Amino acid sequence: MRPALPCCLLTATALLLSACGGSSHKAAATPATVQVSVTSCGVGWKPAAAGQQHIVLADTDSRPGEVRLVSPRTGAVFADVEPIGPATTANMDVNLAAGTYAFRCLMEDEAAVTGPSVTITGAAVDPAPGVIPVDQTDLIPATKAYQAYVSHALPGLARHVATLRHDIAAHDTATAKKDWLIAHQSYERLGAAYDAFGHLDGEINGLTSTSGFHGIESGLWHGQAVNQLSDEVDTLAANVDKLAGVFAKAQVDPLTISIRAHEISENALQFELTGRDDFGSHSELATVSANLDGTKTVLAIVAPLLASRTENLPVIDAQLAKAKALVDAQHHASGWTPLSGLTTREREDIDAAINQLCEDLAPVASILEPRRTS
Amino acid sequence: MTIERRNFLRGAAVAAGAAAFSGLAGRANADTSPNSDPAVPFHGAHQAGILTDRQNHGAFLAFDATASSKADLVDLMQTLTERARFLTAGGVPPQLGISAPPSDSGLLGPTVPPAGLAITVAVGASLFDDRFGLAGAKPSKLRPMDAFADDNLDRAICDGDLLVQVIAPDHDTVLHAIRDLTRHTRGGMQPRWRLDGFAGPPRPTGAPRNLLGFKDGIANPDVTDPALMNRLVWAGSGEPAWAKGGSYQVVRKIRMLVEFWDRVTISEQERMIGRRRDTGAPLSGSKETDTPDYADDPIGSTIPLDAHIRIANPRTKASDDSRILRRGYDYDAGLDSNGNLDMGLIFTCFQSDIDRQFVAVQKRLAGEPLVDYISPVGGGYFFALPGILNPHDWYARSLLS
Repeated sequence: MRPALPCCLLTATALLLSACGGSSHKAAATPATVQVSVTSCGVGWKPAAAGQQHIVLADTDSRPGEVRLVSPRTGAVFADVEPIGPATTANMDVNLAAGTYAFRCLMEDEAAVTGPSVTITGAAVDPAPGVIPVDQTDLIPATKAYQAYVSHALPGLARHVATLRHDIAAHDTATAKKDWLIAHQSYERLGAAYDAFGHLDGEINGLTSTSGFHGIESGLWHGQAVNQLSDEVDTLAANVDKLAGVFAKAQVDPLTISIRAHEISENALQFELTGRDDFGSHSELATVSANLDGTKTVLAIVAPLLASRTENLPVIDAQLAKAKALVDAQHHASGWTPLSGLTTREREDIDAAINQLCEDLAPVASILEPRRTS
Repeated sequence: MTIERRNFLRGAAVAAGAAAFSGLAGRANADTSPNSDPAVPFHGAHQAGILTDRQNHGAFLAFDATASSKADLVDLMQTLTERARFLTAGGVPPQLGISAPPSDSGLLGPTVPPAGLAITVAVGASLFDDRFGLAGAKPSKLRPMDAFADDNLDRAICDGDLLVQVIAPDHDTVLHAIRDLTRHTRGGMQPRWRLDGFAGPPRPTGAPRNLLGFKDGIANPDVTDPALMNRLVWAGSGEPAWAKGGSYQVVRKIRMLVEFWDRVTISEQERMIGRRRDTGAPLSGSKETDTPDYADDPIGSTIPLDAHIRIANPRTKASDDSRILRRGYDYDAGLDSNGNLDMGLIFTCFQSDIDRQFVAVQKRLAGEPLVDYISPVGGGYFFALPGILNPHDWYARSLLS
């Protein structure tokens, strides 16, 4: 019953979900028990007509593993249970369109096994979407591109920190405040959310040490004598140098890139738009603007992997541009509007735009999660 | 002020021989599983959740539209409609494989039951500003909520472009619906304020008690009488054509200063209200359903002239048209800054005409003795949209197309 209405246009998630009309789904009357093991993967599956399937998976193997319902032709995954333990059962509920499907069992320490193909006929409303999984190898170019992006940006960050160091050495608080913001934005643009830089993020950003950006922010904006900040800014500069050295040689986990786009905006929502990470400069919107730049860069890096797996990239791009425009509209000649200076409407518009962006980006992390493919 | 208005209304209906006790709908059979609570019909000339009986749990969320164009506002309304239609009918949420996180929060299990859920969408005056070109279509009485003499309003928890009322027999059903509705409309509307309410069971019988300990409500206007509902609840002449089938909705967050109240003698409490606390009987009667007698009590020897029920409803012919359909809930919001309990009433009513009904009653109540123990702090005036007529209809279609 896909209605004549243009349902759910506001949410890319909803578009992807085909969330309309779920009420027409009817659970199948007869559950099938399907074996999951290296030797009998998919045995027992007797498909009913297209539509809602209720399948009971029984791991008859001695190993734990993962089981997927796939298209044997394309490898697209329609349903996934991970993990399933030996001698246990688990449900797989999936709404299937007409087509040919097979179970794929990926037991621990064993090569993937694909079971017999089964053809389903009939019609289904809002069937499950099939997505070709991404594996670690697929993510290597994107991971390298992200690493290159950060490596390329780090000398700029080091320069901005050096300028800040110079301001502080010259006891010039007013200029130091301006240059602090420039340096911090260049750091926030890297997209360090969720520990991409390990413990160095805490030290550089200053949420776990007084010598990071936020510690220096607190000193500058709370009237600390600027000459008392020289040790702090020296340490910051040293840590930025250390990051450059460490990051160039680091083996970055591909999972990092798969969740990056999503986590940057989640952090902006949780820590910046709530004011939690404000230590006096009231520059949350400057940080969010830099975070959105970082998100855009990361999204561009993973776009080739997403293009064949979702139709929502234009929706995400448009939402990102909308959020960026709303935030940047608060950058005036006199500086960035503090959160407390926003009207209720302005704050609601920004919150709504970043919230929607988080919803739109959530499927990206799911699609790009590195999975076994063999 | 609010409490006894409820008594008055329900009492009046009883006196008129109309529908008797209008308590909580709750669950018809205590042994029945919440998973088999029937669906509240979603389609009809009027929205569900207005004449629908009060449920055990109710939430009120005001939103501001963040849609940037009329087309976006249409999308928002259509999305809200689709989600409400699904949530109230129940069904299996779409399964998305590895393409996205799960489509449903899972709070109600893998198959969403209808669970007696009713969702009601209303619009506020601010939606009719210049953003969406709706200025000429505003219902005639819609405006920001009036500040009455005894109010202590915090404007941050007043008004809003939209009001979504979510009611159900169980709290998790309400929360499931709220999570779903907000998840699908993040870009189109932003929450402005929220009130979560509940309704206790009868203690021990008859009308349930409010948080002042008094029985609160014996009967409302008879919702099974269409002529009465046309006169008292549904928007009437003088309203834009699109508004047919809608109703004005007033929501007021009324803090009850319960510690202070509990330090007042029982006779003073009862004289302020005009009823016995134990039985709910008017001071001129013996039981809850007795009609207050003012004719034989001209100087207030039995029911004081300034008792809440007496001011709220003088029981004259002239005051009959000011009756409202009450659908209030208690709220419990933790503590205030001094460690006092923050609890009270989410006063909610539906009516044909805000001025003739809610405002008229409210003005009569100005300065009543009870105002020392209650404090209205938030809420708003809204217009509950016309009903969703069929599976292709959507909220505010008649306004926006």
